[in-house]
Amino acid sequence: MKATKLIFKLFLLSLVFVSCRNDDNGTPVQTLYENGVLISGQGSGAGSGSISYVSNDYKKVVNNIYALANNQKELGKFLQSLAFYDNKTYVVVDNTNSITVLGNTSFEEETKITEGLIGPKFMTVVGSKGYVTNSGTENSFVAIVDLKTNTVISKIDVTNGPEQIIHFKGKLFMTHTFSHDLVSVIDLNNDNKVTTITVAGSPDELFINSNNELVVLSEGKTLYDDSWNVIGLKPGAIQTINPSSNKIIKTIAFTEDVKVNLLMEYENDYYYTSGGKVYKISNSDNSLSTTPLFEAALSGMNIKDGKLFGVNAGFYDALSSLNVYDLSTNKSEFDTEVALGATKVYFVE
Amino acid sequence: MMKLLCKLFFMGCALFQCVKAVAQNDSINRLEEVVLVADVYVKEQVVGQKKVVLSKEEINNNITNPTETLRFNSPVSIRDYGNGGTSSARFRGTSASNTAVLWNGININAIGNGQTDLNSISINTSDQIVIKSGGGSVKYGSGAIGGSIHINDELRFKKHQNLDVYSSYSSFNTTSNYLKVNIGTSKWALKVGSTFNKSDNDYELIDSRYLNLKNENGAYQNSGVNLSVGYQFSKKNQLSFFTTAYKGERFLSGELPNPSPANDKYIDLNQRNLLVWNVESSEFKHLLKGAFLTQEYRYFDDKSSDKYDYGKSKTILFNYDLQYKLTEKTQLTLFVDVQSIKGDISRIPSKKREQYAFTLGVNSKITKYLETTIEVKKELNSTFKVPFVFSLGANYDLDIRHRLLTNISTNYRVPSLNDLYWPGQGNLNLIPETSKQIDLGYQYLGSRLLLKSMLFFTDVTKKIIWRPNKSGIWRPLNLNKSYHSGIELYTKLKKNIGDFDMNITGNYIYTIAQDRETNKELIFVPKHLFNGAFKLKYKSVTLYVQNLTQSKVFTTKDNIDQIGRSLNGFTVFNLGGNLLLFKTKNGKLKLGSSIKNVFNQLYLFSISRPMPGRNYNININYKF
Repeated sequence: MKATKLIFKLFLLSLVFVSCRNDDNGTPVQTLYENGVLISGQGSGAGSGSISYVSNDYKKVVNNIYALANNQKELGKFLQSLAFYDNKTYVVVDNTNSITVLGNTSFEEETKITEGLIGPKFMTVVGSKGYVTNSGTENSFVAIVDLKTNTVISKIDVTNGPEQIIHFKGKLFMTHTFSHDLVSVIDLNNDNKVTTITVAGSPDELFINSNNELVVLSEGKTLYDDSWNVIGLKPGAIQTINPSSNKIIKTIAFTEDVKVNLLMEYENDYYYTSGGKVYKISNSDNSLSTTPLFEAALSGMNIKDGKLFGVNAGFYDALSSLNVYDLSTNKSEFDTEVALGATKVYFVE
Repeated sequence: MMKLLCKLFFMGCALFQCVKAVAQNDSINRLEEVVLVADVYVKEQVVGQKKVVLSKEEINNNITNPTETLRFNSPVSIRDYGNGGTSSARFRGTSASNTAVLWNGININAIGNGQTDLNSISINTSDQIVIKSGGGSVKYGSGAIGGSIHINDELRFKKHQNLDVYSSYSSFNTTSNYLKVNIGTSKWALKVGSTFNKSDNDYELIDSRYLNLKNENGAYQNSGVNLSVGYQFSKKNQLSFFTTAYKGERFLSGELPNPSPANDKYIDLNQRNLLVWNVESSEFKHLLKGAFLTQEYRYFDDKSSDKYDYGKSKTILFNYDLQYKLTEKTQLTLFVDVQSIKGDISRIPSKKREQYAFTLGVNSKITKYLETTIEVKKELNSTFKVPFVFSLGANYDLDIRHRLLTNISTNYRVPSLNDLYWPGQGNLNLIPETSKQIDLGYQYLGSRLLLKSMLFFTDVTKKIIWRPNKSGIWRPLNLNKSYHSGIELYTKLKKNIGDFDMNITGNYIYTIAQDRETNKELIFVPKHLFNGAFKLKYKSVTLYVQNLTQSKVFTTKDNIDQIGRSLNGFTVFNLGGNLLLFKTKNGKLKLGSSIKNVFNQLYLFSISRPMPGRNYNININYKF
């Protein structure tokens, strides 16, 4: 047993040496992290945030790819999201007030943006600018990053607690998950004017659907009185909003006992998770489904080529699991262990 | 409730009046000095369990904070969030809320989370610190599953005047100071102590993966005062009062890789009062205690803001401890404890908990060599059902030096206020965690060599852990089971060779602590833990070396063995010495110095928060 362990260790060491040599010759270590998925894990008290890579053919699974490429350094916690620009990966880490910029092919750290960020969450790229939601200390804001110089050049104040942010036709849309039931809209073509849309309880996921409408998932939230007694639940909803007029045009309201955690669109269908199950409805449906596709408690998901990549962060105290479900059979065709506290799945070419 | 308390109080008073009369008539006039300790049980009366008593010198050598004191000198494993940060102690791999901390016999674990933060108390002027391994719920109530830490004051009824003043200055602008005055006559005893500690705590983070990073937002400052006063009506009738106040302000340090965003602050405010009356006659010993404690923390998410979250509690407690000498060899004990605790936590409307506990015990010195104690306890609690617990202890002396000992007990830990009432998440259906324990030990009690060993087996069930439900809402459940076994060793050796005095102390703990279902190691539990000191004294010069060694700990439930997802094992050395500058009949002045973490070893107790590298200390101590 011991001998095999030793041999295995030597084998691993040899791998490291080989990659080092590659590095010395100037050949990028990575053509590795292409054509596959990147999974970002938030990390927790049990360990730092990290990124895992799984190749399209599932043959290569690498955890901690940032640490591997950067002298075992850590990203810190909580790794909220990744964004991509000019073959670079931008890693947004909340508690370290930083965005780490990685060469996309090598995953080596090029620079770290630390000035002008306070509790950064998500970034969306418009032209050569990144717009980053920040919780702030007193007041929340959207930091504007010049992606050519990787510096924060300005900021836009918004209502407290902005989380996910997207961009569509010169406007930024962001959800305020915890404190307010709002979507903020910033008009980039009108002096960054901020307006808000009131939605259902605790909005989180948002995207532009195939009909060019804004879709917002509100998870639903618990209501308290002044002395923190639970007095009820504000139900969530899936709401469709006209992104030019900011008018809500459709609401699929949830009953009080339903919470929906994740939502995305794939080929004109909405896929969502609720109560540890994955459901599908058409984007034209007016109500939630009653028949799940399959059971899976997911903390993050993404779909490509008929495959749903679902991650389960469990209790954030152990490695997460990744399952790839074939949507033609609704069966898992691959599973592996990935980053601690996995919440996001990104496809990379 | 109040009515009952009053009744009990008057009953107590009535009893005392009879006894007082008896006591005053007591003609036996013992000559030995009377030392009064409110919690005499742990040091004198525990049968079948392992105790380690810290010396004043051990405290002074690791005086920076209680975490350091206990980490280098006791069998507990401590996890702190950075040097000086929030800190919790664990025995034998049980959880932090399974460690009871007692101030003069009164449990001071916070009602909010069931733990005591070791960096929010002051122990530098305490006279007795006793670390008892293993369950003690019968006597010390909830939370004593893994073991208990006892911080006691002593009052001496004897003509004396003592002053002990200590001051130290260390790297990172750190200073630790205390002043202790004891004055007494055969009637009166007074003790006054005060402590003051302060540090910028901005040490370099020596993790070689990162350069030029400092521990940011880690400064702390705390001060405490305590006063104990006792009056001796007779050698067998004393009234005493203990009071202490503490205020600590800490900033909570940042983490690697970027510690600069850390911006939060913590304030602790504790005030404790205890009135004790003990009276004894030839057959009866009565000990009546009344205590009023207030404990509060304030957490500032943003240190520059006035807004904070808080947790505060007020505890009123009465207890009555009766010992009745049935025969020369057999003693019966009755213990009644009544507590009313009011907890007030931001987000949780004020909650009240009342508890009444009744304990019966029999202590028998069956033969000259065999002593046994059986104790049973029933607690009635206004919030939930508390299990009946018992403890059976035995000491068997093979001869004057060799002792075998055993303890079999059941113990419990009640759910905390957070567990029960956290808005939208608390679970009112929780029941107390319970444990079963068997300890088997051998001790060698020589005049130069002290060896204490203990095999332990502990089974903890219905452990309260927070888990997300299917909607992703985290709620506490009585879910886990764990199994703890291992061995604890403690040794103390004294040897003189000519003018050289040698002294060795050491604790070694081997722990297997596993989750019953997964059979994985519990997180943050080192398999091997060692601390020890070697001291050499030659005339007026003392030199010592200290070591702390801990094996790798896992931080994830699935025991991932990766950098950043486990904490590497380490061994850390401190070197120190002191010089007795002068010694007169009345006083002595000592000058000391130490180098801590001599080899500049990187070591951590929580992820991404390295402890200080090599650092220096000078200190001065004057006593008369």
